[in-house]
Amino acid sequence: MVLFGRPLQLISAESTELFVGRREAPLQVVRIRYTGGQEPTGVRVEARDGRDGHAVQTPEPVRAEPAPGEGVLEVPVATPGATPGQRIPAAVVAGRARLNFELTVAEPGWTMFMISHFHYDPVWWTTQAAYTSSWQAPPGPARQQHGFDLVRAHLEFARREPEYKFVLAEVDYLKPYWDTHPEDRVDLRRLIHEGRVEIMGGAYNEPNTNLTGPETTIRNLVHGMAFQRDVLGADPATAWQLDAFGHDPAFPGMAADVGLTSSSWARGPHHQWGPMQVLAGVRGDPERMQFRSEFEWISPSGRGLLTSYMPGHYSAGWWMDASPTLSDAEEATYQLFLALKKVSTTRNVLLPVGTDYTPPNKWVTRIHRDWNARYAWPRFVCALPREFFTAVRAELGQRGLQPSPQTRDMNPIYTGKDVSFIDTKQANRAAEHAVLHAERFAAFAGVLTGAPYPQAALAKAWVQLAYGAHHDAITGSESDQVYLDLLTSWRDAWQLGSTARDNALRLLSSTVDTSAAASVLPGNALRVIVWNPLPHDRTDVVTVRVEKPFSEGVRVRDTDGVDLPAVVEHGGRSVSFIARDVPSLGWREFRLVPAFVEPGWQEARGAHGAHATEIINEHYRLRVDPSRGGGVASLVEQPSGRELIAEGEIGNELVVYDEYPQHPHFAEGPWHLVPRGPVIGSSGGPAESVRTYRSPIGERLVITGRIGRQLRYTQTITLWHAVPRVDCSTTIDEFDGADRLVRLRWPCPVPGAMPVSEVGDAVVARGFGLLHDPVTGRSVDTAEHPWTLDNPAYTWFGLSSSARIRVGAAVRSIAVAEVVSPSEHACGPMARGLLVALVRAGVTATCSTPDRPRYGHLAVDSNLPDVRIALGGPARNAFTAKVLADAGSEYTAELERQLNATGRARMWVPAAAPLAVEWVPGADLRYLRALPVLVLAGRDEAALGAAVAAVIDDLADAEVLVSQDAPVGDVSTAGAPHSVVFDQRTVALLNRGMPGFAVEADGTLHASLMRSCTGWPSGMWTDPPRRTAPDGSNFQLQHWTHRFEYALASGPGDWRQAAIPTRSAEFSHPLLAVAATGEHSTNDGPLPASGSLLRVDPAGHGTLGDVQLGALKATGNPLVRGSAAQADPRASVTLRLVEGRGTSTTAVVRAPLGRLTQAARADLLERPRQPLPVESGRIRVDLHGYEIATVLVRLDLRRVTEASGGGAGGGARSGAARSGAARSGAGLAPEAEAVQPLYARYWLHNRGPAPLGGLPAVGYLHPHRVTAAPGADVTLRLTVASDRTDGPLRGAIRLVGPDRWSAAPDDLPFELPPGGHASREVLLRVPADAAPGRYPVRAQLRLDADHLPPSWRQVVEDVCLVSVGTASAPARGDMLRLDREPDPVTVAPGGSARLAVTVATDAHADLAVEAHVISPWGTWEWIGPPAVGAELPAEGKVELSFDVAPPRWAEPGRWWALIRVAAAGHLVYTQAVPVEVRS
Amino acid sequence: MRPVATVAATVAATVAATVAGEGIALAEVDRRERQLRASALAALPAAGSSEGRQLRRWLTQLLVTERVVALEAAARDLDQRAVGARSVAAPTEEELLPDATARLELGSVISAVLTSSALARALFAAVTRHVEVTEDEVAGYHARNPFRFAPPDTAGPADGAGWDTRPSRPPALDEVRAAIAADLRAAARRRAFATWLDSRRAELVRLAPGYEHPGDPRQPDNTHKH
Repeated sequence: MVLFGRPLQLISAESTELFVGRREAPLQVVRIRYTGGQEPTGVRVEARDGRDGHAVQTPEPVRAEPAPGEGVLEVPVATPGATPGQRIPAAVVAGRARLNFELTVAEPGWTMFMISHFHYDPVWWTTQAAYTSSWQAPPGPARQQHGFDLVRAHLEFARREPEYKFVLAEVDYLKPYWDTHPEDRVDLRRLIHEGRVEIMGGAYNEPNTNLTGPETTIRNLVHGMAFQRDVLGADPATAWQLDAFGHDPAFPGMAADVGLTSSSWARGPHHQWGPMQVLAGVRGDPERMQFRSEFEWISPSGRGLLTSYMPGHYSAGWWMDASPTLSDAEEATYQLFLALKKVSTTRNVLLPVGTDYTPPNKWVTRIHRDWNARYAWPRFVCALPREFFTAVRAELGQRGLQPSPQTRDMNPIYTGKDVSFIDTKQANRAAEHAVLHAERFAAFAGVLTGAPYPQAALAKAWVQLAYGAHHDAITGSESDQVYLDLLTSWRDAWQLGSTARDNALRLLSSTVDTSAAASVLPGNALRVIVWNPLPHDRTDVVTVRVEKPFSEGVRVRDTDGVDLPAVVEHGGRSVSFIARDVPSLGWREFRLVPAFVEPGWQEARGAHGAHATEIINEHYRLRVDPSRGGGVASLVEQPSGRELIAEGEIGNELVVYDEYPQHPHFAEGPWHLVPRGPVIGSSGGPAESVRTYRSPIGERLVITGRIGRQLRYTQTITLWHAVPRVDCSTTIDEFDGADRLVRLRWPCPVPGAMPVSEVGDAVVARGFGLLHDPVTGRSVDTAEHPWTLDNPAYTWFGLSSSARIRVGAAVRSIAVAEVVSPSEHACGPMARGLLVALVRAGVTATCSTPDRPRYGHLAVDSNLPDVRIALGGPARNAFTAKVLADAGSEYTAELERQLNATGRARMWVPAAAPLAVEWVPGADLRYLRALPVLVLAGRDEAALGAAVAAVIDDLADAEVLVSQDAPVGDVSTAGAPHSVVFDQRTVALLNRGMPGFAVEADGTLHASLMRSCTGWPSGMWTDPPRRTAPDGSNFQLQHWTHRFEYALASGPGDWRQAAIPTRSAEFSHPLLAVAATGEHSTNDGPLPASGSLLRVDPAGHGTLGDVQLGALKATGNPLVRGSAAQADPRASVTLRLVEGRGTSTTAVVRAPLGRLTQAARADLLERPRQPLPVESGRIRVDLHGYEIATVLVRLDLRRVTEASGGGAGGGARSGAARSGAARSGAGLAPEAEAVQPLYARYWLHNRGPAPLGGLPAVGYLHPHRVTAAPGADVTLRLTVASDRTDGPLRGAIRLVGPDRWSAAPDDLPFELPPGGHASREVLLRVPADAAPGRYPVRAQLRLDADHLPPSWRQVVEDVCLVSVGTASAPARGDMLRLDREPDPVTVAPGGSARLAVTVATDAHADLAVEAHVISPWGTWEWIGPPAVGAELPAEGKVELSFDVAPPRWAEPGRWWALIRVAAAGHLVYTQAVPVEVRS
Repeated sequence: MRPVATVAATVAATVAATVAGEGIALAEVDRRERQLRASALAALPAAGSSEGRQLRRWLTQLLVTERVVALEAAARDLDQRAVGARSVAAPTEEELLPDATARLELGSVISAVLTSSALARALFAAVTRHVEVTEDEVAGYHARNPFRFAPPDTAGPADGAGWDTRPSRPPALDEVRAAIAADLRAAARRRAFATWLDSRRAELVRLAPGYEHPGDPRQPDNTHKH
């Protein structure tokens, strides 16, 4: 109490960013700390010298109460005439106490938008069932819950708290919630309408778009928009990709092309948690960013999206939830505001409030109420993203500003994602291609024969691919159980796609006319139609497989009667030959003729009986070294004669890296690559065997060997005659270790080249990888250097020059640029065009300003630049001035010379050292002369603009010419010494589902093949008992046979001239052969023996350009938007045309069998935008660089109509009538799930998205599980809801209970309007003598089938489980129990075995069970069917079995299989049994 | 300000936390972990792993919360035995934690303590007894959410199956006032209790290194898994 007697003492005075008073005339708050005081004292702030009373004043002194400890007082200050940032000498005056301080004038008008959200992963370390509705979080560390409880909690909070607003996003929980809680539809729709709920994303989920095909990304958006917009009635505007591990460069353009106007996310430009991540106890500074948090994110197509990056991560605003008091929470929020405002573009800050699976933040509405009552500015408001983006746009507009343009590569993030669970990436790729092929051939089958387009199967396949593209699925970051579940999803997509593709091709093949060729062929010849899925003519190897051997010896004859060389294998079941000139998206017929020839592979011997080690074709000569693991010692490109393998090095080498069990700093698992140093390669010892084979169609090497005890390998390298690729495969067996990573190496240096990789619908250059210590050869240690610059490629990567700067005779490739604009205001107007031109030439760029940090600090930036481009001379651009000051007077003189001569300047200022010297692990390239600088200058603003425009023009050929007298310096990029500095050549590695790559500065191409990772959540399992691979290891360790397919392609010129995209597409999309069965062998259909369905020019190997066909499908996606319409390719097909070289071109599209009519350009959702003229049955589509153009067109294939004789109903229809598919009554693909009835709570079976057809109507019993005593009445609520959008749905729900139970009512007809729902109570009467136990009650919904798609006619059933018991006799028993596990399988190629499980139930009523066989990629062709169903009788058992039948051509290996059985939301997984194919 | 107990590094080896200066022994955390592992139906994270340490942090929260509840109950003369003998009324678990939303609002630790301890529920009642909702709040809620507590209209089986239909007009406030008030009051009391308990914990509890709050972003195992 004595302290009160002390006079008031001022401790400190501090300016704040806070304002009080009226919003229009606010007073800045100064925070005063004081102590003591005998009585209340007035406190005010005034100018320090006291003279200028107007500059700083406190209108009303604030009363300071006596404070025994430390008191804090907020004193309002007016600063008329001052400008924000100005520092004014000021003083606090309190009675006789006075304290001088410097007042920093703050800026009013700021708003922080607190966006309440929860981040949701539909699968990750636990399962889909758990995350959607059954996760029992406690005992657990945080306030986390499953999707249903989360939506409910946020909704209830919004009902109670009028200020509360929140966002919802993923369809994975939205659809189940929407359907199971139809009573909330009204409130959710109302809150959406009132602007209190925003539906985010416009995407199905948060996909890792850098690991899947571009069309998978587009369909993710198609499915997301359809559900969110059409079914839910929302208006998604912001791509909400919070957690995705980097982004495909094309993503912003795609999002813009579905109508989204903004995006927001937390990962891309910076590692991990972003620039504010706390490391070693220190919070990072967001001002390490080179650009502000709101910018225009631009894709290689030039299409961009206003984007808000979250510098403090998507969880930034969540943690104040733990504050014990409101004022603590407000202070934490204010501190976040102070940090985030430093990098925000406008006076609007986005604060994400929420993190993984979190309920409403307990302080956020109280902050909203309390804070804004206390302060005029900054406002902290509960808000939605659309309000934030509206405010950003408004302010940009008011100030006449453009957001800064950024084409920066938002990669790499979490490099382990590119290789963990590699088999799922291979499966995904195969499934994507199967579905894409299915669409195009089914569309033409529909047009030519009238076969109904299998829209339900294709929609299901795509939604499975979208589901699997989630950033905890395709990334391999999931638990073991989730991995197994996801395999069923990818398999579903692959199976549906393959089925539709094969049936469409069989149907189309059956319409190929054979009469013309018959005269030159023997009657017992087997017809083979070879199909080319690509839109250009091509020659490639093709293999025909027949189940029953046709003949031991076979000749292949073309329709002119000319015999072709061939290879027959597997007892006459496989015939391979080179199919020449197969037309664009077309076919060519061949015949297999029995003959006494033996044209198989013949083993070749070298001199003196030694094994030959060399193979040759027209394009390559390749030799392996048996003493060095059978690696490639020489690869000579013919006819240039150039050796591609670095001297003394070995190509095709496998290298094993030891890894940490988890990240040494972040303690995390499979999403990181964590090498720790030791490396061992296959070239370290001799191969076990090297065999060389020759055949009439090519030559082949087969190499076997081991790397110590780490793995066994079998490599084949094949050179096919006439095929300009080195086709390779590597099979890895006995990879039995833990925490090891396998890479494949090809040391193929190209002087002066930089890494280039295909991404989604574009090609971009990337920096060199930083994998090794160049001296020791050891891997970098992750503990020391976590960032290695591995990156994901789509189907190829290589060494090339994507863009070049030619300075006199010197040429420098450039890959990644920092464009330094004179000021932030200038970024948009001055640099945008240049950034777009650069990225179309493959150079991604960051637009920065002189006063911000330089791009290129690997500790902060997720990737590094290799060149800087400065806009403006030294007077205009402070960065240029510094560079020139450092570079020496000759460059200043050069600039002046050029400016004097032309008024403009374009000058190259070399770096202080060659790139390889700077570009090292842990690189920091921020210093002034670390990188070369291209200076663009002009005498005045117009001349500067002209100088920039001239470079944009120059970039059309990807080469910028510089002519200067000043020295050019060392332009070399790579570390290895070369006799030449720059060689215009390309070497590329093509892959089938192995996206991870890095090219080191010495020119070694690395592809990541696989790894065995033990880091969490490897081995995690949710539903006990835990299952493992047969040897007891986690599935994440991948202890089974893996086969990798890849190819090497090379050529003179850059990647465009070397036609790498075309060659990669050919490797990715092999020719497809259809062996006509006897039934159709004399078909007299209307198609000629060879032809083309569609031609796109320019495409393929031509020099004029390359327009790719991203997709071809029947127009529209009615099912996914709840429409009962049938997509009909006869009405319209959709073409996705993709410009593939970054240059403007005009695509000409025609259908050689007829005409195109009624064409229109459309958006990615296939909504028509403007008509396209049709000339002579063809269309011309102008495309700019990397444009993704969607075109709707009608295919009028008259020739077929005429050829078929014009019978009644049209030729196409009569063609269909003759086709096998039409005759048998089967469509091209299933219109129903294999297992019936459908289970309404499909997510509880961990089987991915809603079943085929999309579940347009579904009924649920609530609660899902109840207990009852014998003789009791149980009241259940039955809900029924429709997601149909274009009409009513009529049907009935039938209740099926156990014997002698009654349900009233038990038959409930319904009629629902679009989006409608209903509910009612039903009464169950439990018999008095019911024995204790489990009693399933089934509610089966059936729609009246009139006019509905077939997939909507499936019965959907929900099951309520009633547990009957009493205290003395409780309910016991298993709903589902394994009665007999499957047995291990050993089988020979051509043999067959059964894989069977018996399950039993104690339930007192029958149950529908569904069983999925789960086996890894590589086995799907011969283990199946994928799913079977059965009725499990009450208290009975049932066996479910699958066939294991590897064909004769199957390679030996060891895999595993298990069976997942599900019934009414209960799951059992059998053991994984070994499946061995033994030759 | 009251002097605060700090957990010195030297005692950190034996104590997970202190509550009002009294230590929570690590042995106590061990014991609770053993109990949990013996009884758990769901898979628990492996001991020694990052997730395993998070589980121990959560158990520490449970222990300190139980201790705070005991201290505060004693300060209010709420007696464990009296509660046990029902001479002091404690609400039931069902009343305080009617659904998952309520549990989410309170958080897993407070929910767990309220579930297991009648004393904690009695304390809840004592602390929140005076929390009420105003007529304006009830009326405001009804105006914003007119159908939230509307009884379904079961009048007409117009479609033959007797489906309930949504009433065409919202119910009068009088019809739903009690339901709304009960809902709002329960939520307000949960919030008041959680806020109060948070502030008591902030004052009384000091956590040892390694036993920080599991949701504390500053502790090493809360490197958010990605």
